[in-house]
Amino acid sequence: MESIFANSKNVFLDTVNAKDYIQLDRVSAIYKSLKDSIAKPLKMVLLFGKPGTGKSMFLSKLYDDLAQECNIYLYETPILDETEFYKVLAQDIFNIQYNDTLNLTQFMKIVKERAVEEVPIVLLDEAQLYSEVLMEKIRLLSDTRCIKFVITLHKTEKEDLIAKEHFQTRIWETFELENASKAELKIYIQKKLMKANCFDTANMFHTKTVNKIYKLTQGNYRDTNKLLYTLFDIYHTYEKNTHFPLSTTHIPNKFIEMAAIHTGLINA
Amino acid sequence: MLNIHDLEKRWRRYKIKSFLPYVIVSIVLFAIVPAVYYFYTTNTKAVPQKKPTAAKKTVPKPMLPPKNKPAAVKAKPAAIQPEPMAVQPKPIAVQPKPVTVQPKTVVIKKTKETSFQTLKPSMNFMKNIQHEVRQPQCRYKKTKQKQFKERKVTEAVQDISVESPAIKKEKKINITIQRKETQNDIYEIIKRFKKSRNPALSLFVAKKYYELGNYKQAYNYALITNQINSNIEASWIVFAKSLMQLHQKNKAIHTLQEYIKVSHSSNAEILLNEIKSGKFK
Repeated sequence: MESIFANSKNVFLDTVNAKDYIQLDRVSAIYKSLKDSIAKPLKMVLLFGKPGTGKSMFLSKLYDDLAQECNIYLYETPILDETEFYKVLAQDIFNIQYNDTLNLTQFMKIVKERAVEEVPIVLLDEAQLYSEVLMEKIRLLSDTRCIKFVITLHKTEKEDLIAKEHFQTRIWETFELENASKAELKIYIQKKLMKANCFDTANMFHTKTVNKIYKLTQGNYRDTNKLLYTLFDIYHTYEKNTHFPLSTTHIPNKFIEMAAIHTGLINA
Repeated sequence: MLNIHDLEKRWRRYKIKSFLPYVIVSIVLFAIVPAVYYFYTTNTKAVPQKKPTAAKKTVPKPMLPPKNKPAAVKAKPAAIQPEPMAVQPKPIAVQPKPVTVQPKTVVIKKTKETSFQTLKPSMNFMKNIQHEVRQPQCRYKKTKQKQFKERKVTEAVQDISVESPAIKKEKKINITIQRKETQNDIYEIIKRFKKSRNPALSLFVAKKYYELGNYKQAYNYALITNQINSNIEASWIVFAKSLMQLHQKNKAIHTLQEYIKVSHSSNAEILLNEIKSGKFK
């Protein structure tokens, strides 16, 4: 039987999986709004926030929820080559395989010819990695109202500008994702552990411990996942190497600080 | 797999680093508190020590009945008075010499105590003037007296007591000259003001008149300034002050109150409070 610490460690692996999505009140409200906005005749929806605020998880969850109902396509990794981008879309949406180069005009022609009743929804993650030229073409594509785009952007000043330049005049809706509050972080950690049946370790996270974690991660989900993964890794290592049992009533600050040092949250 | 030992080492280093400022602060505090206490106690001990010394110092003061410097000074002019009288009769001038011998020692004590009262340079200058006045009559007659005077210069004590009244005269002269200048300045500025109608100039004139005690003119020019530009705080203050000097307290208070309503001037408020409390002079 594997130890509770090893199981808990795996809970916080930094992967984007819709099944791992944790419902928090505020986040759920945003998710519902996003879902509703997709039903609206919007050309483009913008989802933005700092790195690690759960944008990719949102897209993944959205895709997972709507995959059965809608014509939806998720691209987690950006397709930076323009021709390749059109080719992939043509193949996925219209089931047309192109061997030659495909430009915007050709792709627009296909889009208009093969216009489907149900407007396909294309989810583009990490849109800040796309070139400005390609972003402009994506905007033109959305203008045709034949494809609906949901894109995620990292929130920095530069990227906000890009968003403004490209989408200012378009009909679009924006959603901002933020870091968790202390209370949300506690719920997030405990729910995540309980979802994986790690009740003992979930009970180890008292308010004081969560506050300590919050101080280190500022409620960033990615940083929290990394920190807790390392924390349980430390527990697991101690469990293996020491003969005395480790306390499961509370988490000593030492372990949290060691995890923070290892993940680089503390510069020691 | 984590290298727990290395991580523990890093954690210990981190803890030492994080506690270091607290340790330093506490060490500094522990060092400072006794030091402050030590200085405080030594100072409190030193204060009573100083007091007796101060008392000692004050003891000689009563010894300075010659310290009645003004008395000594007064005595000297008394001795001097015969001198100008002695300009013509030489033998009379000889008499004060033995009289001055005693005051010399007294004056030396004074210079030790208060060096700032010596005023040597100006005294010599006055002497020269006096000599120049006397010389035409006395040049050929008193060679002996000159010798005595030269000796006295080396002692340089008699002269101080002699010259002090002359200094007072000089000061008075200077004051009259300054007044003339300011008046001239005012006339020039009034001319300029009439040409330019610049409120800064009329305010300057008002201030100058106020300084010179011509409160009526100060009032007039402050009023003119206010008519040209009603936002100059200094002008309103001069205006109110002039009113006060012209025994129009109620008008001054009313003026300031109205001005404060508009401008919320803190200086005007201060002046108003002074006037109301009777502190304004």
